[in-house]
Amino acid sequence: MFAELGHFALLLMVVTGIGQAVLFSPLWLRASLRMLSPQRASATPAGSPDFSDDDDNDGAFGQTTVKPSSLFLLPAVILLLGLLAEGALLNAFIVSDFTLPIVSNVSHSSTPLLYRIGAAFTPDGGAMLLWLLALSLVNLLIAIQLRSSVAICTDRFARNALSVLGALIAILGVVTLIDADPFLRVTVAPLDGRGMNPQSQDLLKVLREPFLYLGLAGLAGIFAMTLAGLLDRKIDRRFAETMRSWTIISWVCLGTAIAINAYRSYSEQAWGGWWYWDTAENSLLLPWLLATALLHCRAVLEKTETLRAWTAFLGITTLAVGWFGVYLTRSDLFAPLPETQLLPIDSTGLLVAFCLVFAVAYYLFWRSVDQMGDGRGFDVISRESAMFLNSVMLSLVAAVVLIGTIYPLVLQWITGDPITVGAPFYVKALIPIVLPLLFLMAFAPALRWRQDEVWMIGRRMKLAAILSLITVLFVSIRFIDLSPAPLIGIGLAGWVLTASLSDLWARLWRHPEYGESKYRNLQLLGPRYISMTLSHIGLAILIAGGSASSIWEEQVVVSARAGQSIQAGPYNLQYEGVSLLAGENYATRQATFILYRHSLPVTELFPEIRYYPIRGVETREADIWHGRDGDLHVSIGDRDDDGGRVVTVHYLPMMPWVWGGMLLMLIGGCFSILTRVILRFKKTGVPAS
Amino acid sequence: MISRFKLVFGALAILVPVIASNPAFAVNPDEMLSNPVLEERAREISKELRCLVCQNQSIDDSDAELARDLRVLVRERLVAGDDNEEVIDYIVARYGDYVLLNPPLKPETYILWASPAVLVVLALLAVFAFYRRKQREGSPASASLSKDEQERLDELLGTSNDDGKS
Repeated sequence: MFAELGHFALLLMVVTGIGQAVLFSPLWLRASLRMLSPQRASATPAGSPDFSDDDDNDGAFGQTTVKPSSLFLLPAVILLLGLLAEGALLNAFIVSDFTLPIVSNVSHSSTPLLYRIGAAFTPDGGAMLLWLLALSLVNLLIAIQLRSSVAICTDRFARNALSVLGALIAILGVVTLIDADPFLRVTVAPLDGRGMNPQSQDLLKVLREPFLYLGLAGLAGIFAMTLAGLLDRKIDRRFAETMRSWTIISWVCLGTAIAINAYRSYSEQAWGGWWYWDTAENSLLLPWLLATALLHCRAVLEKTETLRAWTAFLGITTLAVGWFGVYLTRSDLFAPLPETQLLPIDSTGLLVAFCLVFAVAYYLFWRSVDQMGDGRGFDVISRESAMFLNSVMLSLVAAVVLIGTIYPLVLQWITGDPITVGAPFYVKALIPIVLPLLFLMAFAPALRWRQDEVWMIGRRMKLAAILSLITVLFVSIRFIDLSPAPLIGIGLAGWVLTASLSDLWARLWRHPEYGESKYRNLQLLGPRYISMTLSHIGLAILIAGGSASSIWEEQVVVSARAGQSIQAGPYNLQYEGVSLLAGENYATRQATFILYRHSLPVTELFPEIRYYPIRGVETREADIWHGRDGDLHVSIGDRDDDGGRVVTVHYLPMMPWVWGGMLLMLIGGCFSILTRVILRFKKTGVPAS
Repeated sequence: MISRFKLVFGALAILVPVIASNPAFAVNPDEMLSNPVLEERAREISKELRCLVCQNQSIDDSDAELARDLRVLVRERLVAGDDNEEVIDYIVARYGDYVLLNPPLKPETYILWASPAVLVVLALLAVFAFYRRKQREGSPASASLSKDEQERLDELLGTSNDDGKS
């Protein structure tokens, strides 16, 4: 019964989505048609009186038919319908309604409640529904934002953007219904489900999906605003301001999904690695890279109204790669994907919709790009220039990752002969791009807008250069046998870190017109500067941790007997034995280790091998101690022939820096959003710089 | 500035993985060879070979049964006296190029290996053209202010000194 309600809600969502697309902007279609006819388009360049008069008439027409308050009405209805549909699906999973194949395929009556809810996000239909729900939430938030900031953007812009979002909701709704309808029933229900994929039975994994799809929905919001801006040929400062929070929200959400993914690989596998360049990881990384590029371009656009076309291009392309990533992970093109193997997969609809949406989007872009003009230029040595080069290099990284991801696929399609593109390729291809990127990254905060002098930069960067050289010297003397590669990694991390800190320092202390109190100076710097600095420092820490843990890693594999002691780094692990325990829906062999540091007991660690009888799958759960100076990563393997237990211990020095760096980057992003929200409510206090 | 660039690009030539995932091992003690030199070579080879049933993981990293079989196979070949390339050729002959994590350079992969370089060159050209165009349009240093801007500047200067902060 509820499932039918949900099905109906999903259908209504499509209808209201179309309604929103058409009602909000009858001019949307007309504007597109106008662009199709070349003589009209060329006769009405941006801002010419003819064009704007025309628009005003349309706008007046729009205003008289739809009252401003009804801007929320349809988005609110869509969100309500989305919640209803998602609620119906979750209900089916919670009560284990096995007449729905989607439930019986990935759930089981013995699956714990939390993971039954989590299982609802993993199959195609559930994931699409989650994406739709996130989209409708973003839709409503954008409606509220655009309405409350009428001063910033025109009514026409708001309507166009919402109309594009409505169209996206309708298209994705139709794709869901065609490709992977989650609410279909079978007449003969199986007695029980086939169980959840044990690899996904993890709290973090459950949390990853909402973050991923919220991030993608935020990108869709940016996409809609970009199209609206292109239709108006107004990619300007106000457009950049409107888009601002959405770039940060998407960036934070996608970054969280990536961090969760990395930590999950790390804690699940026996070998302490956290990034493998597989399809799922790459398809998360791609939109995040472009969102980072967009974040920087947008700031330039807001400040100087340059890079209009490039920002608009990134605004469209970021969603494109995000969408394509969803298609890649949801399609059967990459066979060994345990999560999607069980349901018959058909992602053709998603691909067709992808082609359709982005053909239209890029066509609009192409038609309007040369009519936008660009603001006044900037010098080669200026902050704009640094941020522009940064976004170009990030896009290059994304392009290489994309090629590496789809190349095997295309080759197999052409020659039928599969190849693998693994970490060695990405490392060789990306290092030459990433290193200059990091090197230049340190300059950006210290550069002035528009124009700067080389000798001035030299003066400002002097301290950072000296400090990072000292770091490199210290490390190379202290660890004399170090190869140059990690040294360069650590040196660059130090370079970025010291440059950020010295810039902060200079701004706090040396600025003549700043106030007496340093705290007041910190306030004057503004939330944007602080969040940027936090994120840059986070990245530096992440790189330092990654480089260091890869060189100083110690690995011990032994066949251990109860009572045996294993030495790893400064730690000493005492193996106590394995006990057989029962989890909620699995049996587990849980080993107990007592961790000593300099012969003082620190904690107990419990790595496990779990057996999930429903799928007949074993999973290994490592246990990790995050110490001050490094992670201790323990996992157990099979029993040896001579009765010992295979124990793998990794001591990864500075590994907490990797996680801390990721966290700091995300905190940087959140800081910027939070202060903005708080400021909006307080309306007083710190002026946003 | 230029010398710094040279420094960085010079450094690129000697580069190996930095930010790459950590190579760590799932190799079991019973598989290890007693000869440490051979074992070291087995490790090296294993890192280049893909676990066929996993996602882009090397057989050295994988718990899978098939990966274990391959690891044992690598060690058998080493004990039989093959050198590293012979071992890899032996495995490629049986499983195809698919097992190589590092795609081999052959006509099918020319585009793959060339693409990063081509992209970088294209990007450099585009950036160069972008700056050239900007300069032709008038560098901001020499550009005089428009009339409105001059008025606005006068107005601002009249009331307060505009600070130079970003």
